Amino acid sequence: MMNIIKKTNINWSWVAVIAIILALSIAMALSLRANLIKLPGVSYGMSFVNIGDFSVDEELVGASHNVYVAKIIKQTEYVVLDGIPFTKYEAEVKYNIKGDIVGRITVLHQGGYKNGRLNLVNGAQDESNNMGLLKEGSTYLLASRHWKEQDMHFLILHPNSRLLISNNPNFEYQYGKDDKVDNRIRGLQEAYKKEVLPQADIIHSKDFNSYKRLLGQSVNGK
Amino acid sequence: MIYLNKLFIVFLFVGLVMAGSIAEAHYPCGTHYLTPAGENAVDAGEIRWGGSTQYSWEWGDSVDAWNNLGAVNIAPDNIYTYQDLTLGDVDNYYLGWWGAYDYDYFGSDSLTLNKYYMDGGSYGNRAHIVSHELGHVH
Repeated sequence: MMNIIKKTNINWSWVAVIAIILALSIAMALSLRANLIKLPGVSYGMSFVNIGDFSVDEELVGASHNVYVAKIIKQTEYVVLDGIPFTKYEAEVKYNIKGDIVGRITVLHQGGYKNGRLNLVNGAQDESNNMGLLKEGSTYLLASRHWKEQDMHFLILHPNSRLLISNNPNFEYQYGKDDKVDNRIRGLQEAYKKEVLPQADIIHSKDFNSYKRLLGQSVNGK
Repeated sequence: MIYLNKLFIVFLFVGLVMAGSIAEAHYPCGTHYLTPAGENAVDAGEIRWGGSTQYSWEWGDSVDAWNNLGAVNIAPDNIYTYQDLTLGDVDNYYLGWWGAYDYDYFGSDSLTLNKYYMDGGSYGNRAHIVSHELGHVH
């Protein structure tokens, strides 16, 4: 075997160089894919067509399974689900407008690292759009849909679907202390009574926490 | 000395790849338009797509409509082209959208349609959604 190797006249040191380069390339590609390497820069190229006009509170609340005030405890990880990047948070619910969540939940915000690069929703560049990633320690009014099987709450992203209440980590929300927030909550509570449910939720009986069900009424005969 | 030369080549390669990954102008595979104004799947004036969707009629009609505008050529991917866009469906009730476009810095962008809502819509509604998302792609 050694004689064969000697006779082939191959410069094995160059083979080693090429092998190292290939190995490093593969390692880099895998690291990017696993988001172990996070490259600088942000892309704002993610966009979607919402299932309703969420500038209308009745449609926003109707499309949400839960609407609530929550403090973001911590950002836990970046995940990619069905090829779409999300950022996961642990949040503590302080007040419910639709639904009855108690304690801590997992909240997912569309946008996060994918193949080593931060991909955010188009519109997140402007803070006033309320589409940027959540900040740890901040308290928000949020609207989300609930993946019951995995017990994860996916935020609805729209300028009207979120309100930053406080970015002070020591702030503890109490209803009745802030007129602006209270007015918004009251508006959403009224909208809840006249909510417009997505047809798909009615058909598939996934109108969780809908107002009619809360009152014990049937929804479209179900 | 020869050993140091080879080591230098390895480190030079690593440095170039790192710089290339950080640079905003080019990609290791294919070339996307990447400008401060936005990111899209247009590659040398066309979008080569792969993958599949059960809403193929709506997709076909939307592609035809955009191609008729003449701004960009949207065509299926083949062995001679780089796949700029991957089409796919999901069936996720926990998402609040009909369809979504996701830009990928390194690889193919994706256009995903949510069957949970799409199935309940009319043909016209579905075609509108697909056409709208295709607009975001370029």
